[in-house]
Amino acid sequence: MIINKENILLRNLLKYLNLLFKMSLIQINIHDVAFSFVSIILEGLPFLIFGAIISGIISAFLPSNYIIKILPKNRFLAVVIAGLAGIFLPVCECAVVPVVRRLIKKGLPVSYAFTYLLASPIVNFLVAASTFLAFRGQNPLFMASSRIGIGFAIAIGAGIILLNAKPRSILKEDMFNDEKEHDHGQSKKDKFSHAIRVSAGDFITVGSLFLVGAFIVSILNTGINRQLLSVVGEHNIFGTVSLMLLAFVLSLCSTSDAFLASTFSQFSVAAKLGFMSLGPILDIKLLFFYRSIFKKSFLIKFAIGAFISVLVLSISIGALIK
Amino acid sequence: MIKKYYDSLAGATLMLLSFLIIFLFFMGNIKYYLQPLFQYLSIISSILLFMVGLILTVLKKLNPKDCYECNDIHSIDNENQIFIFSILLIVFYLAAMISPNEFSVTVLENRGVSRLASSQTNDNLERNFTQNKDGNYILEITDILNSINNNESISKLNKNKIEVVGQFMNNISGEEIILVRMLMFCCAADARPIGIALESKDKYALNDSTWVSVIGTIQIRDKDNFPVILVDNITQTTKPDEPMLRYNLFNKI
Repeated sequence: MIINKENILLRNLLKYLNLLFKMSLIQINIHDVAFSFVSIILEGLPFLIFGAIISGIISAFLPSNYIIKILPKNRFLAVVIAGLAGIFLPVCECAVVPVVRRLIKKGLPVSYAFTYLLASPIVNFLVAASTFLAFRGQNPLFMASSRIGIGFAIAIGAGIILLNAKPRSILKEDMFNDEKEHDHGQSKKDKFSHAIRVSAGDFITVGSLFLVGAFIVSILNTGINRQLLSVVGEHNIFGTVSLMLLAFVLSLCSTSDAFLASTFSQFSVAAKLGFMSLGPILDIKLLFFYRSIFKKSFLIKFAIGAFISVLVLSISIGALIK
Repeated sequence: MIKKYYDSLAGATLMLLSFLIIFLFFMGNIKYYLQPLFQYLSIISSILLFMVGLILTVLKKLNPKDCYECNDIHSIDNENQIFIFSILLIVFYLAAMISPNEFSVTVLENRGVSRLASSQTNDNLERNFTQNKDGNYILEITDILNSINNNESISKLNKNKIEVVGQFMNNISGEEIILVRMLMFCCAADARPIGIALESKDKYALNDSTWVSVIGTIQIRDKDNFPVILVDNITQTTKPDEPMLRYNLFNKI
């Protein structure tokens, strides 16, 4: 929508703001930011809504600790199953957060929940297909399987590390005292109204963070000159680091990032793998999402660990293709 | 006192958001932001959100004792949360109001023009190119890029004049002049400019990102095996109804 011609005050205000931003390092154009922001929100909202509705259904209809009962007793095997759950329950990064938030409140151990959170946006059929498609003519099978392999390895690794962690050192306080999960063992009508309340509450909580994250991403997405990256493109390590930073900033959806990655012709295979593997588990938008579940201190440690792990794995796998 | 109305407030906020998305859908504006698949997902989810909001608004009337154990706990009882969400929705509304339907030249320059290989454009190679009354083939930039590795298409196009619409750019990606179009993968935020070099004896004093119609012939350049358009004529034209091209997500999977 373009603003009304009569709205001179608003037009002038935007003109002055654009002029102000032109003087800064990042070239910010308010209209571009608005265009990008609205598109990110429109793309992400459906998944967030579906995630919130699933969360409401889990809260009302899934008995507490039910998932624990059906998972294997062997904790390592349980982590692996959580990592593979994305194949059967493919949920993208926007939808998975409210679902995992609710599963933790329902008694799912953090290590299993975190494994599923990291794995589901990357270890699934849609991501495999889109990566294969995007890299046709550029060793598609290798790229798709390597990307999924890196995502799976990191999710499993993170899950195993968290097996002995204390939930209170990882999770936000309101994950413990907010709801006091219990079974709603009354009529279907009661459960239904409970599910609606939880869905709306989760949507509002996670949606607020999503809106803030999307706004910041829109500024960086439109304002940063990507041509600057070409300076380091041919260097294996610097190229990989720079594309990973780009993935962090751009916060693209895991089903579409491969199409962009495949166009970075001057970058190495490792750099492209780093770009595609980091984005679905760690970017600006996701950090805002994750803040609805985890403590800041934990997220900082996770961010550093995930970045280094993806870098090492991408460069190691990239070396194979040489 | 106000706490009594938290559910209703939250419900109304959700309905407002769904109204905005439904409005964008039925006004046709949503096509500028999303691939068709995501447009339909948006409308379906907005209807769901509207229903959640509506039920939430009237919940107390429907079911006054919905949870004997935890009625207060499950209400959306954080006034700050609803307040913050409402403020953010106003920002979203304002953004939708001032949002144009394409990116400015700054974004074209910042993202850099890529000349995708044929496999990445994923358009339908078997498509029969349409001709206008002058016999020129009416093409998109993706049609040309797709034709690089297809001898049949290239020989067909070589014999005739072609006509392509795009944005004129000076001195970008090392070319003197280039014809650019944004290619959207899932949403506008991930769109990438794709382009084709133009070779012309004449100089054209056009501003960057001006919408033009180019008539010429296609030639595959020896030095990099990429197509160029040998320009006969460039004329300013109106912006197409859909400024961005779309990646065909399901073609050839």
